[in-house]
Amino acid sequence: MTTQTPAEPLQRTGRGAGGPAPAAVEVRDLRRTHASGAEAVRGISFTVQPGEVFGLLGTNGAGKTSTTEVVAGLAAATSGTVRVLGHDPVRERRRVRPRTGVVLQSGGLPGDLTVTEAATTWAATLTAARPVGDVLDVLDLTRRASTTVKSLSGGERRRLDLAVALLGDPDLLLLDEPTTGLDAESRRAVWDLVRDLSAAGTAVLLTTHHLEEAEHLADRLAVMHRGLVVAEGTVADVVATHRAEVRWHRDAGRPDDTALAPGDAVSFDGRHVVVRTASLQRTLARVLAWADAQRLELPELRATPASLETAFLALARSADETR
Amino acid sequence: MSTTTDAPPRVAALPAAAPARGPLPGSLRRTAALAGAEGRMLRRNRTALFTALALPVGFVALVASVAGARLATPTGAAGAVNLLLGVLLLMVVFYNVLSAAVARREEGVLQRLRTGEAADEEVLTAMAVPSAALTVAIAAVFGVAGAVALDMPLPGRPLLLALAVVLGCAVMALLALVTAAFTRTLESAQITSLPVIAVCGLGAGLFVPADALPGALARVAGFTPLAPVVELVRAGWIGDPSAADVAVWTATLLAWVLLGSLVVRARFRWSPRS
Repeated sequence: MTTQTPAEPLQRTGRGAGGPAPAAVEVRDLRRTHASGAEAVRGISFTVQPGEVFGLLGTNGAGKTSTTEVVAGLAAATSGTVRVLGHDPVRERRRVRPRTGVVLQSGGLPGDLTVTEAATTWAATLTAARPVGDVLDVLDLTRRASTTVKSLSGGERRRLDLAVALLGDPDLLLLDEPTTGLDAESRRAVWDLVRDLSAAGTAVLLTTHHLEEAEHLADRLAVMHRGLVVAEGTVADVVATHRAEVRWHRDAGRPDDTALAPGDAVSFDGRHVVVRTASLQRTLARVLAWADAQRLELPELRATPASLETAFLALARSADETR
Repeated sequence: MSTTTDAPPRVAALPAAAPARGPLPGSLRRTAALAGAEGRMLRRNRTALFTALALPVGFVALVASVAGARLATPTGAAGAVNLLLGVLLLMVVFYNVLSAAVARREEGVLQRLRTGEAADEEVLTAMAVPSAALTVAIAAVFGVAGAVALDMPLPGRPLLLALAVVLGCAVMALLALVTAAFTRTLESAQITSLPVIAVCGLGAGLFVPADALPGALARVAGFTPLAPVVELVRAGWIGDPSAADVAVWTATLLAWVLLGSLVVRARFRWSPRS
């Protein structure tokens, strides 16, 4: 890697200045039904602002990729509206494409070309492109420049996908499962890269099923399940939709456990007593005080704070129950 | 990005994108770049390259040995060129473009290209350019080598010959893209290509002389995609065709181009089927 300072550092220059910049992505009541009749997206809305990392989080089949394909202009919406940088991504493709970078889940670079050939070919199709060598250098691909794409490891291919998406200096990056197949170190490096781009003003629409990735990267996120957005907000907002819990093994010979914590939701989960609470510390203190006063052991006592994972699972379960 | 230290990636250090420079306007520049990449992939694909080079060379050797002195006559030369061009259009343009379209689609390359700035027409044209260029080059080499080594006469009306080659390449490339829409894998391309090769080859008289076909079939055969190409080549070499005949042959080829374009626009698949 070289270390020289470039003449023109990356910065957003407010393209289209003269008024408030439009949202990077604006999705309203989007529905997408596949030719098979399967309803992949069932009326979702969200907005991604310039410089924001917005996460679409969901299980496999939740509708994330179907949504990304519409935003990328690869497929038309069945109904609803989608605006990308103020334009229709299908009808106004020529206006949108020079300002977006896309990493698809399937990659899609020709296996028989070398890394340099694949990137150079892509750069030659752009209205304006960054120097290929510099971009490969930043993605740590310089030493693999003469290697064919099909000979790269999964992680290297993913980095090349990102390199190609960055060649055009995009205002919006669409990243569909960008760290799938990466080892932990490479994943962290990609996260740093995305944060860096966001800090420089690039909007990022990130789809992922990795909760840790969404937690680490997303300024805001929407949780998708079976084609619907079941929660949206900051990570803290989404986590707040779910309560922390204290649980222990139930002793059949003991008095009624439900009397121990008035005001909290006490229930039974198989052979465990579960207390769900918005204030884990206070509830845990009360449970311990109650057990102390009763001179009771609470076997398998466990306190679990609310997390994106527990909130996500609860949201998915709740959505399934209300179907 | 560094995989050896905790240093953050140096995205902020990247230069801004610079406007594209070069002698070609945007559309041609994009098509040329993609065609160049397609050409590299063709060179690295031994099977495709064998089909593109060894088959015509073997065919030429066979024709030269069978036709012998008849190649020195305009009729013999036109017949040999027609056979060669027919094989090139079917095996190099049609089959190679079909294989490339299916392979690129299943690799996800076509879908990825659609996220970029290249228009659909540019992507598809680029896919056909190397095979078409190879066809023109082989045909030209055969013509020159035939004239020098076998005393083959030169075409009397070379413009008709050029028209036949250009429209023939366009029609066969479009037929390949149409066939790709109905082809799931590279292996199944060996099956789905057969009807097109059979109908085109039969209609153009490559397998049996066109006048050996029954009357009604012979009349229909004249409108199959390769038949007007054969007529234009023959007219370019030996004939003095009427303007009406040339108009009918050209119109037939243009009709195939139009029909192929419409079907490709409506039915071509960009995302992997498997």
